[in-house]
Amino acid sequence: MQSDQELVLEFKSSIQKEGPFTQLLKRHQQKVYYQIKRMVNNHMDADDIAQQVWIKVWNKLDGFKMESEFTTWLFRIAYNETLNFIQKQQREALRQSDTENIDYEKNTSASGDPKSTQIQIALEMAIKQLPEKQRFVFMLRYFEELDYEKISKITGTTVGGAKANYHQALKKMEEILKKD
Amino acid sequence: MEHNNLDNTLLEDKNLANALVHKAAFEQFDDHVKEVPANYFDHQTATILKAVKNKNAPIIKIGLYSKIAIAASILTILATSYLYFQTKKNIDPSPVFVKIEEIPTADLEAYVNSNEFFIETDLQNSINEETAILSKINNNNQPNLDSNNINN
Repeated sequence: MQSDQELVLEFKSSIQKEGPFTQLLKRHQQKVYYQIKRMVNNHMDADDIAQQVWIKVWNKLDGFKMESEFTTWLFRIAYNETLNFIQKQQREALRQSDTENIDYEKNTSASGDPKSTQIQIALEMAIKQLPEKQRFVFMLRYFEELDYEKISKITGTTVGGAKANYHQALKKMEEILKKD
Repeated sequence: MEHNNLDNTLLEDKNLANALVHKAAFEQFDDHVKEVPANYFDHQTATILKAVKNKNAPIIKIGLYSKIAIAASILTILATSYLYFQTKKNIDPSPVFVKIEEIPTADLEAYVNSNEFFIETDLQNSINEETAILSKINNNNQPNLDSNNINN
């Protein structure tokens, strides 16, 4: 099985780029999708964003200098696209003047599910209320189990900054959960 | 050792999160994230490949000045063709020969009537020329005759 690096080199050097691209796509599409969906909590939105991410990968892979791992670069694109999407949503919500009273409970995954616990609903709401960067860092650390060096490259911050983001996220969640 | 330290740090971080809510809550959260429609990732692969293929279709961009030049060229060709064929139509390249017997009498009469003056002038000119020739001949044959009497 070819490594990511080998596939990237093959993509760059070959006229037939679909083969190596498809292999990279199939290898990493689930992780990318899950990370995005953890942020937006909506399949349709996550699907749209994920498609944009992979189209960007296709367009920019020739210029990828391989100074970092392919997955670092890939998640960096996913991070930027996700944040752009969320910020756009927030601007549209502001324009429609309903951002002050967003019904978080309505949009949680647990809503309508009879087996969901209040704790799960509370957790989802707490995660949703995190600032986007802290949320992304928390997800990468807790669910993807990435080290801080990689997280810092993905989010464009320092290792110390990434650690701080994670612990700030924990502190914020604790405050929200205690309120509830 | 470094690898273990990294693992411990990760474990510690996760334990801190788990202390907020039960670990099961995080697991349920992620289980929901991973709920996708059937065959979603196969469908996503096909959709993305189709999208990038469409992006690869050659797009021929024509700039503004090029568009103007193309339009001007087409107009020039059309105008030239129009003028050429119009000019060709107006010039009668070959004369049409018609026998006088085939021309209807009415047409002949109409022609004569409309061109009567010119015909009479031509006729008179012809008469004058013939008279002059005859006079010469007569003068040569009969030198004592008075030429004025003949002309009157």
